[in-house]
Amino acid sequence: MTNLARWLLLVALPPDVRCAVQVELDAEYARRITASGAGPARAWYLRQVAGSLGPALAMRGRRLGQVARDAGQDARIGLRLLAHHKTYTAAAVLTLALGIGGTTAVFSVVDAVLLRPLPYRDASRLLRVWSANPRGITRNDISPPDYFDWAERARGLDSLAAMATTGPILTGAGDPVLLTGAAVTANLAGTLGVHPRLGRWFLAEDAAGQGRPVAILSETLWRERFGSDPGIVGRTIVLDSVPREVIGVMARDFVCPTSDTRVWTPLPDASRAQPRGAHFLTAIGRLSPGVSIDAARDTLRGAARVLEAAYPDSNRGWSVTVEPLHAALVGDVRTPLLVLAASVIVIMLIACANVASLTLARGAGRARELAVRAAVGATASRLLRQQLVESALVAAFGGAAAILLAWWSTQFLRTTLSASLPLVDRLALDRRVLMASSALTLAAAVLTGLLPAWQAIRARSHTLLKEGGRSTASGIRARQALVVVQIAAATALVAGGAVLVRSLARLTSVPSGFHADRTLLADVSLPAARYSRETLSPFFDRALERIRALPGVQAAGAGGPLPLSGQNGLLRFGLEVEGRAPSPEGERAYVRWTTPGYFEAMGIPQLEGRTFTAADAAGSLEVCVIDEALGRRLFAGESPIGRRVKSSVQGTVWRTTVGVVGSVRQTSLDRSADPHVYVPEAQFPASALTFVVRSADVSGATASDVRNVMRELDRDLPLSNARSLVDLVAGSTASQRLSTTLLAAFAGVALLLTLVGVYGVVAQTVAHSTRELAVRVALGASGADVVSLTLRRAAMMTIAGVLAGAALAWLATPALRGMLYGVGPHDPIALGVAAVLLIATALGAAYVPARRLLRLDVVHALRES
Amino acid sequence: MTRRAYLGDLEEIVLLAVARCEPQAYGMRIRQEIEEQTGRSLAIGAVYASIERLEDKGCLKRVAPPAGCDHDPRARRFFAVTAAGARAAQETAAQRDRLWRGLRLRRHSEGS
Repeated sequence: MTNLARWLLLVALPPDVRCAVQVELDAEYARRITASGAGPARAWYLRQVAGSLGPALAMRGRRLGQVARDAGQDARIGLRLLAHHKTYTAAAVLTLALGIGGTTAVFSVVDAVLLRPLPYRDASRLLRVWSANPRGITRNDISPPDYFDWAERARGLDSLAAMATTGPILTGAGDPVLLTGAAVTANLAGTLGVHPRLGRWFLAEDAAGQGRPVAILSETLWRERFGSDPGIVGRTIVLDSVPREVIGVMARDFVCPTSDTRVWTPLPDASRAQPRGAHFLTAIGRLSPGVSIDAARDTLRGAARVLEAAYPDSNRGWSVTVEPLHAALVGDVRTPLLVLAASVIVIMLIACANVASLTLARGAGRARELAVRAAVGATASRLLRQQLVESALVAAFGGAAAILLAWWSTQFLRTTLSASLPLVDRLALDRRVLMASSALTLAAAVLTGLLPAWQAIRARSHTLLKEGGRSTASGIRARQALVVVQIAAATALVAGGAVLVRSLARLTSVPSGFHADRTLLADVSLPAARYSRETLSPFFDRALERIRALPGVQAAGAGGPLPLSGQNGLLRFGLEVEGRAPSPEGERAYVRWTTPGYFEAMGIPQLEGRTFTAADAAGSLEVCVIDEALGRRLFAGESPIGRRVKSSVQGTVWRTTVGVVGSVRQTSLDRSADPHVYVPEAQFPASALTFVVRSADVSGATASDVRNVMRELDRDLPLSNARSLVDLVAGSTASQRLSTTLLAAFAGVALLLTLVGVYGVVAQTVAHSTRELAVRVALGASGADVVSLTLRRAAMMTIAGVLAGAALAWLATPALRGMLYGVGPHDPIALGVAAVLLIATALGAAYVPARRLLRLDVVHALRES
Repeated sequence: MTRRAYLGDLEEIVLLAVARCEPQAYGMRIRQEIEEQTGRSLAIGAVYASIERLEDKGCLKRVAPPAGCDHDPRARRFFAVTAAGARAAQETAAQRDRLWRGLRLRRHSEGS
């Protein structure tokens, strides 16, 4: 009992009186035990403790008040000083705002994309499942019969859901519109652990094809097209001319399979009857509790082997790839994001170094003030605290400005990145990001405050009053060290940026195989419910005829899927040449639909023979055009004209080659040109094509002209995705462009900060070595000698920094390897550019203050000191 | 210290006890002195809290242990009344005297 009481009291007492109270109390207790016995002594002791607890806490309260009063006083002094040194304050706050704001913005992206779990129940147990095809493409879509067989056989998975993207046209709710949709299995919501915002999710009956056709809307579609009608459930909408009952609305954070999915329909069970060679499903599975991803992969591969044995024609060599869902979604943006995160942290450190350097410079000017304060009794800890409070104030202002900057950047990034980055639509300046920002601010306060505070304490120990506050050599040395570190960091960043810029330049100068200028694109998709196979081709002919009649149109055609559009980029078909045994490997090529005028509109050059004409119609000789890449592969040295080829997409039809056109880059600019076979749309009807409209000059046909043509032909037909061919090409390099732009911007900021840092330190050096330089001039050195001496000193600093930075870059740039095209990570030119830029910047920044020495008034300078 | 310090009831008692105990004025001794002279049994924590307030007001100061003190000098703290403390105590007493002056209350207290 007394022990507990004793412990309580000791905890309650402030540390500085704890020992005294304890010793006195124990001594008196011992005395009382001998004087009046243990019982009364203990009672006395407990009374003493009980009566002391309140006062002990009161003493603690007084101490807290004292600390707060001191901090308040420090803050008042700090604010007054900051208000007085406006230039310093503005420079420091802006620099930190840039550093903290940039880091916060990049952190918000990294957090949204990489760190935060997906918005699904127990998201770490979700898997993405692919077919792995025998030609080494490990992430292939799945055929419906394979999916259903896997779902039945897969042990270790709670469930396996599948979906396919669809593009239904919504009519009867405003203008007709082509939506992004998905046909999904009924177990998708259960697999992910999500619930509709309104209504219900699909049931097994919905997929079985009994009862009315149904659909689920996205919150966005519900808001934009149906005015957030609370009675939407039960209403009927028309998708592809089929009336469907709306049974539910999904909340905005449900982004499966993509964030632009607007409507979900059930994947019919009947799709199990599709051929096993038709791979178009995406699958997501949930691991059973206690099952590892490897075990699940093994059971799925076992299921795939069973199918291989059962259906050798379609499934031989096909296996399964399994990956955590989050990793699969994030995919290859992980590296660029981490590179950006690392770069922005470097910027942050440079910014902190700059502010520390600025503070040191001001500290040098304040040495006298500090010495006075020390002389009138300020303790070392008080001076340290004063300095840290000032740094904290600067950091707090910087942090506040940074939040504004970050708020603006996240708005900007969310819109610009949404096309090229998955999950970025959940990017927000939320609590996590603000906490990170606060932590950065705190770190900045400590980083920028420690060195100056240490200097302040050292200064206190010197007899500065006597020397008139000029003992700042160590301050300058500390700043020089900071500048060397800054130059090193900036060199590494600029080198990294330069490598990416060179890579992007290489990438964008790759010939795409077509001419992108003055060309408009627009997608159109003819709904099967209203357009039979026979009516597709006549519709395109009529539409193109009218488009060609528009003023300013030079050429127009339709075709698809377009190069670099990302549509069906992986779909290649087997080829056979007449008169040759099918090669065991099998030649494969992209098969593309085209109408007459397509090659002219795309600017794909005709090399041999002819392109398609209106005469290549249904019922006439079946023809095709091949590209140069395929011509070289199949008919090296001979003319392909007149030779017949057959593709597996149209099993039995032999097509006569009538022409050869130039090769185009299909999947991306950094992949070599793949072989293509072009077939006339009239002989092999397609319901979804892209119009390609080339204008004679810049004031050519517009999207609305083309839309009007469509409206005249079919009021319920939406034209979607109107864009220029230039945009399409730019879009294909968007992610490279983005990371390059950002890294180049970071490099620019680093360069700017370094400029400020070098300028500041040289200006201070010049100011403090005026006397020495004046002596040199007095002894006969010319002004130019003195300037060059100062510049030589700056050059030493710069070269040390650039060398360290080059070493840093050499170590760090291999992280960029996966993002580069046509340049190696150790690119001497990029490194050279960085070195030259840094040296020029640093010497330029040094020259401005050094030049002042030319106007040095020697007599004045010597007398002053 | 130019500010005039007014002493609370407990502060006055502790200050006077310190004055009476000097140079042996340490926490437990002060507490004991108060108990002996007034019959009030203060908790040691309350004594220290009052001492601290008096220190802040400049009425008390810590002093070195008296010569020949056999206690651990780090553990036991000794205090002395400052000039300002003496002035404050006198001022407080004078105020009280002025309040008492001409008051008939004394008879009542005699009568009880």
